[in-house]
Amino acid sequence: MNIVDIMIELRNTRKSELLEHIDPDNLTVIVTEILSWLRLERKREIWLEQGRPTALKSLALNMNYPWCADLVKILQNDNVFAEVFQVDGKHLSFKDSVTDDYRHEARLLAYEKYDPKMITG
Amino acid sequence: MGAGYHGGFGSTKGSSKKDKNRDHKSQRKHYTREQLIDFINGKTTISSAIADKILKGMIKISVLGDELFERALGVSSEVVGLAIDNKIYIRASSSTIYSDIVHEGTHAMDYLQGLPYEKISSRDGEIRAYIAEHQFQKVSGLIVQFTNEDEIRVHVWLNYKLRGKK
Repeated sequence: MNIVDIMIELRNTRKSELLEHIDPDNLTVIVTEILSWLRLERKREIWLEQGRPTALKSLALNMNYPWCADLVKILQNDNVFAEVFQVDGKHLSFKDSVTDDYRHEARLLAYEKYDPKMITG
Repeated sequence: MGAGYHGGFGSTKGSSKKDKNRDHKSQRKHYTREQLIDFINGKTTISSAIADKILKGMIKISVLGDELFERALGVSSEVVGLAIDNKIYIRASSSTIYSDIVHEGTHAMDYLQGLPYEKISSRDGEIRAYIAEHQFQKVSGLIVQFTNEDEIRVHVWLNYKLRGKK
């Protein structure tokens, strides 16, 4: 199961063994931000294929935010997130060991499956 | 990472209609992130909670100029604010920007608390957001849109279609 499927399930159910150690609201933000980032990364892939001037980017973090600090804690432990992502200074990215195929699949799945609806008014 | 200011902060021109029977004024508006947070903080329990979440980067706020707001979000000139999960987008030219932040921030808070889209966007969800806005307006000395909560319920029932139901 790709990490994206796990995050979508977590977003929908708000249930995870990670909640034993992490504030639930922070975990929701973590998952939402990573899914949003991966979805945007897929758009960047498409733009690159179209020859448009863009580049893939890591997810910028702000360590003053508690959810970012919690994200670092998650990645310091043994879990599926730590197998896929790493934090380098102020940025989240795929771990060096993650293959290009897996990264592409994660972006694609986020683009296809994470499509949040807007609420107007 | 934090609030996104995409051409909305600083000067903005133009006016747009609002779907809440409020008047737009065509004027240049200048806000800083701190001004917005400081104004809503300490007014009501909900507005303070929203301010806290914005400060902690858990609710992302983007204040956009009219053109960017409508083109990027694909909405009409009558929309003044919207929420997508934990992100809220506010029209910079709105004359009720603080109220709009509380309204959309309430939707974002619902998301963080685990409510599904169907409940957040339901009539009950909109009533909740309008009541939070109403209480904030009364305490802040801003123009109060509705006389009481019953008027809010009537407004929502008349103007918001049932979602997901025939």
